[in-house]
Amino acid sequence: MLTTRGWSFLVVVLSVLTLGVMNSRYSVTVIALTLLLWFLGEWFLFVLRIRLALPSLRTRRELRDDRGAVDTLWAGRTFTVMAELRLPHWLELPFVRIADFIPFGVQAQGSSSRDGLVSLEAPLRLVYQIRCPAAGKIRFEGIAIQVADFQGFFYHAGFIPGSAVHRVLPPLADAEGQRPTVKRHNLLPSPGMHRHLRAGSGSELLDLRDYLPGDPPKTIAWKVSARRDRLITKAFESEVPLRCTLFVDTSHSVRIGSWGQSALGRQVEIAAAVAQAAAGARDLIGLCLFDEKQVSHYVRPARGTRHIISLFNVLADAAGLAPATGAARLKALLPLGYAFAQEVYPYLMRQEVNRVPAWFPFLAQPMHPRSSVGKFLFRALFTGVALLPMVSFGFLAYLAADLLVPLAQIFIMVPEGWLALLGGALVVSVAILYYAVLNVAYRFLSLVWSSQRRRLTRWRKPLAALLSERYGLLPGGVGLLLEDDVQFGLYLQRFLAEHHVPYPLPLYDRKGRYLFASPGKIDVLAKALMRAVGKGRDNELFVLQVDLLELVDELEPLLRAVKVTLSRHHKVMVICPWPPGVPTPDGARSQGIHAGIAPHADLHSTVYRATLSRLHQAFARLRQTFARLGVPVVCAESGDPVQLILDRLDRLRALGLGRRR
Amino acid sequence: MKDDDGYEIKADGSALRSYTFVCFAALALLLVIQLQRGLGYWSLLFAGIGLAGVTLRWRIAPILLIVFLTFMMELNPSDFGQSSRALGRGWSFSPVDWLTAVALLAYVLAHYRIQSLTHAIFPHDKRREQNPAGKWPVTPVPSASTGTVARSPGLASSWEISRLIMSLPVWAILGQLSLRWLPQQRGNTIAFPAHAWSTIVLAWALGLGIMTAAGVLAYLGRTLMTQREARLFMQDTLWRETRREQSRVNHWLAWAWLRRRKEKS
Repeated sequence: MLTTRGWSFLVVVLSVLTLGVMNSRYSVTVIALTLLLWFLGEWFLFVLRIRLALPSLRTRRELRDDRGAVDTLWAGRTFTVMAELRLPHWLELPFVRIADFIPFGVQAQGSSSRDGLVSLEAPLRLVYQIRCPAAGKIRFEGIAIQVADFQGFFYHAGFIPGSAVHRVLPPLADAEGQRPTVKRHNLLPSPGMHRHLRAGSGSELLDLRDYLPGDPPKTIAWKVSARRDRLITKAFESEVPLRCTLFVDTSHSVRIGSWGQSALGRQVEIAAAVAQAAAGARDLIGLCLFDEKQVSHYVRPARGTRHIISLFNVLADAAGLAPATGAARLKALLPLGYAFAQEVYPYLMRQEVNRVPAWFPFLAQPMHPRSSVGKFLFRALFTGVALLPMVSFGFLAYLAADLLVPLAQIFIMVPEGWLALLGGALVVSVAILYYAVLNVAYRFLSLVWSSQRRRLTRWRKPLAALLSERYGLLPGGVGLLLEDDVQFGLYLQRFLAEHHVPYPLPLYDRKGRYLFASPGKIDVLAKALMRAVGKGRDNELFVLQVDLLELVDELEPLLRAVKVTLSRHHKVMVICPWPPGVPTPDGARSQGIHAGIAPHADLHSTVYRATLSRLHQAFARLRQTFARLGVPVVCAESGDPVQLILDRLDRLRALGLGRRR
Repeated sequence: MKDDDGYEIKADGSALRSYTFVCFAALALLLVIQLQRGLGYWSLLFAGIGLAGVTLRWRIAPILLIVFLTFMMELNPSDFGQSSRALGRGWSFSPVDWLTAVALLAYVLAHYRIQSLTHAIFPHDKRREQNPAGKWPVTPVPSASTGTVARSPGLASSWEISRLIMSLPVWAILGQLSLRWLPQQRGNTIAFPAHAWSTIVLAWALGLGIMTAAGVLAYLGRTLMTQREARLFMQDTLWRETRREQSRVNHWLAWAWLRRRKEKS
């Protein structure tokens, strides 16, 4: 509240006042009192403004494009943000500086901060532009505010909440994405493939037949009619739209990475582009989102603008998902969460409502220590050394028994045997007490000596209270989150994910196991595929956009489902997401990067090459496994998966497979 | 001149000139008073410090001026005529002290406002500093100010300067009146020396006044708590009351959960 400038002024004025009063100097006292009274008056007014006016502040935010206010944004386009701070209160704030909270990952153009006066008649406005690089969600938290007096003596930093979440839809496809419906493949039907031709109003000639009353005259084949001497009508092929269902993996394995840079972001881009291209060709497109637990969304194949927009909304929601793991490192998450909470929820983190007792960092329960041989040995050594004085004391007491017994008999009139017994009991009691104190000391020693742990403990308490209040864990929530590291880590990740704060996560546990393999998604996907096949028509295209690199050995349920799908004359293709920043097999080959361990390489390079080698081998095995079934596997980062899917659709169209039975 | 929202603002540099003028005027008044009191060269030195403080933008100048003025008054109290009388000998309005207080307050406030316009109005936020060691992450949120932020000179209105000048005499009068309202010897049953009694009474008066104001403001803050704040306050109170029980119960629950997980794996 009081700045350094304010403190220095106050100290000097109080010193002068003390000097004046102590020396009975009337003039000095009067001058000092004038300065002090002015200071106190300013303080009272400032605090009154903070207490009364600040809670009344209201924010209003509007996002606009060229045509007016919008609620949903598009990736890759620029929008104007207009934020306004209003004060419906008679007390004015003479000087404030506001800064809009720009969502993470969003590129802002123009100044998002401004200073000035805020009063009943004078709101403070901010205007700037934003551009979202990828699909997902953006969240405006509110407006950060700093209040000061004109002299810079008093200061208050706060946050005016005004959270608003906006969807960012995937970018609209350009002309390349809108594929024409002309035949581009001159393919013959595969052997054994049955054509299900049906008459309709298409452009390709199917058959000639006798004229029936009611047939349109323009369909009459005049030359053939003249040759056969009766009216013959041309029958055209029916143009039945194709059906395609996209299965998009939204499990934790594809969520890793920053916004727009994750594998999930790429999946969403591909799905959106395919959906738009299919809509352009009047094909039906469906969507199934699944993770390791369940199918979160299933949209049946359909067409139309409204359907495409609804697909985009679902995809945008999926793109904003964040990864989480129970093995998160609190040391990395806690400072991030605390700093964020301090900024965005300062009113819930202040001492008045969320107090951290002074003793707490020193005497709190330490976080669950992991047992190890080293720690056991250290504890044994500590206990041994610490027990030495007690043993010495007992030994000395034993040696001095001859002196102490007559002395004690002066005060305690009991037989010598009883006295020895009492003395022994006393020594044992002191020893037990000493040992208990020793245990407590050992337990809290790490907190007493480690400033880092103390700091983390001090930060954990207010954050635990905030999370407990936010997620309704009352009334024992604080105690739970202070004790249980896993729960605290999960809630903290949820908190950060909800606010779209990027946070670091370990990919491997302490035993070197990959934490984000998500094996449960294989069963979920297999069931979803079977259900889609059951509900689907004949000859559909099922595109599986799923990360299987870590699950090559566990594909059996999925392979069974794919076999059933193929037996029903459907087509399947697999788009495999690729970890961002890692060269694809094709890319590595073209760039001359060799996977595998090279001699004399440093540790980082060795780990990198080993990881690369493992991923490339997994992809090759995946491709081989699905190739046995005739299912193509495409890497999402190499080539153009959208083009491949569209080509596959066109091939189905050319082969006449996309027809209703 | 008006800004985009229709508020009257002064052109850049105008406010700075006005506050500098206030500083010079206050300094001139102080110089005249000190010269009349016969301080001679000391007065010139005093004025020189004030002048240099304004022109060279010394941030310590107001403090220096207060200290120097006190030093001069302590140095030669007998030269101050009427105002050199001691405390506890009755009260009478002293125009010279009143003028001195007005001038000093004007100089100090104007100088600090100049500092806010030219240097910084907000304190430096250490959380924004780049941490080279990378030990702790810098706060992830963009802040209103990421360094030293000065107040825009265009925001200082003429009404603000006028209000400052008009309020100065009031504060100076209040300063004198507050001394009159303090009991001089009444209640001094233990017969403390006059200066000691004045110190005690003043300390009590200030302490009680500040405590009362702080109490009123704190009460006001509680009555205006939002639902979330109140819930958090209640939760915090409950935790403080039942901390050990909660800790024990949850410690065992966490232990059981970990054991179950270990058995599963």
